[in-house]
Amino acid sequence: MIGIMTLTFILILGILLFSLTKRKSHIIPGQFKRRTHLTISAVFISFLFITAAIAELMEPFRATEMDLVKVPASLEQERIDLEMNMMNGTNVDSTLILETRTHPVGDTLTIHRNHGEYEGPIVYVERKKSNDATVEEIIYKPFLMVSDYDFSDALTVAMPVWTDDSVTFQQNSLMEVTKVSYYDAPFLTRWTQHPVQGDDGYSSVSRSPVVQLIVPEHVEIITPSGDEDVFFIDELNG
Amino acid sequence: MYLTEPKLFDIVKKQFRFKMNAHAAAFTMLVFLQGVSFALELSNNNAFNHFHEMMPSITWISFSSGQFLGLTLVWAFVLGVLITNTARKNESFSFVTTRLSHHLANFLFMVFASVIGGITVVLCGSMLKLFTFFRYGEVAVQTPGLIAAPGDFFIRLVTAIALVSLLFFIGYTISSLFQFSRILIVLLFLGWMTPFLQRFAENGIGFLFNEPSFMLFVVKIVMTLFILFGISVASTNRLEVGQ
Repeated sequence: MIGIMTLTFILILGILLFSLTKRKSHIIPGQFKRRTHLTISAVFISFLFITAAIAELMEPFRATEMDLVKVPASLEQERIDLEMNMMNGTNVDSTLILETRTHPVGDTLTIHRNHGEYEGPIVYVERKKSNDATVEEIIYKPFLMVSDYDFSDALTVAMPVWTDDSVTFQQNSLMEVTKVSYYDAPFLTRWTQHPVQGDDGYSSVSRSPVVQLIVPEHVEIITPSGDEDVFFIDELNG
Repeated sequence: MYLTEPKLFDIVKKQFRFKMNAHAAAFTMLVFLQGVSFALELSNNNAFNHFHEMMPSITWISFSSGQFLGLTLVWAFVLGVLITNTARKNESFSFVTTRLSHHLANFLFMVFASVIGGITVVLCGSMLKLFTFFRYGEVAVQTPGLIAAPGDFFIRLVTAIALVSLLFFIGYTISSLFQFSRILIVLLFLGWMTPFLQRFAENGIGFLFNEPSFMLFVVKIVMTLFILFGISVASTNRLEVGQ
């Protein structure tokens, strides 16, 4: 990409140098007269003024707020460390939690999945000593960051469906999000009230929703759909 | 004592007009370059697609007026260099003139061309924005326009003119120094490899562009332009006509 840009610049620089240094003593057929050059420039500038006026008038109707925000590095790290913190039993930032629920449970808990492999939430099962016949369910928000911009609000979470002693996890919603943005050359905005930094290439970091189930120790867990997406914290911690 | 003694102002005015005609092709080239920038921007190399089997797909298309600025700066630098070449100078001395009037006319021409270049950069950005409105309907505008933020629009305009004029005068000074002494340019080029000059250049760039105050930035640019122009005048003042 940078190579193509550099080549383009060199090519244009070459054309520019060639055309501006090439001098002819008199006008030959096909060459613009000086008046023509000035007319072209004047027409172009007039055209720019008209298009700029239309653009500025249309802006209040067509422009939307840049609803994306850059994610602070600390929050990004917090999100990335979520699963590790959960397994270590350290506190997780409460802003990462979407919902906390409790459900009654008997002697077994059946975990179904209504989605293909790795297409649903990541499930962590943690055992608790107390036998209070309830399962605590903590659903953590998914996240998606593109070039440090937070697209997480575009993600919707299909909530797990609980019936008696079973839970069914749904497929993640797979919608399409298209974003079109415009910004002036970053250097020109340096001293304005809305400076932009530009794009230093695109990169993305993402994670599916995470569901943590805190289940009484004696409750047997059955996974008829396979346990590829279910992780047992006790086993992971050895 | 002559019956008609030409005034400096009149000579400069006449030469400025002459230079406007002589360099008319440069403005057509600017139009061409802005067109190329527009085409490059529309080629949409800046579209990003995020596809993941577990996640929604994101398509993010961003447009920027950066290309317009980049190519206009190249244009300004090249024109600044070419303005002082021998052929152009010989033309200037084909009628009554002095070295000072020659430089002053060049100064006026460069300021005028910078204003045109700077204005077109900002207006081309608005043209690109208009295209995105028609093509995509709703667009997230990260840098509000003239109506939403007139102050920002004005600052962008002045910044663009300042940058274009800086590149103009850098090209002009380098070309003038080249005429003064080609060895000096070779020495400067070789010196560029030395850490001292590199640090000097870095400090210079930092001095101009790391300035937090916009007003001070403009003052620094104007001062730099006068210094560069002074160097150009001083370096060519003792040259013979036509050299």
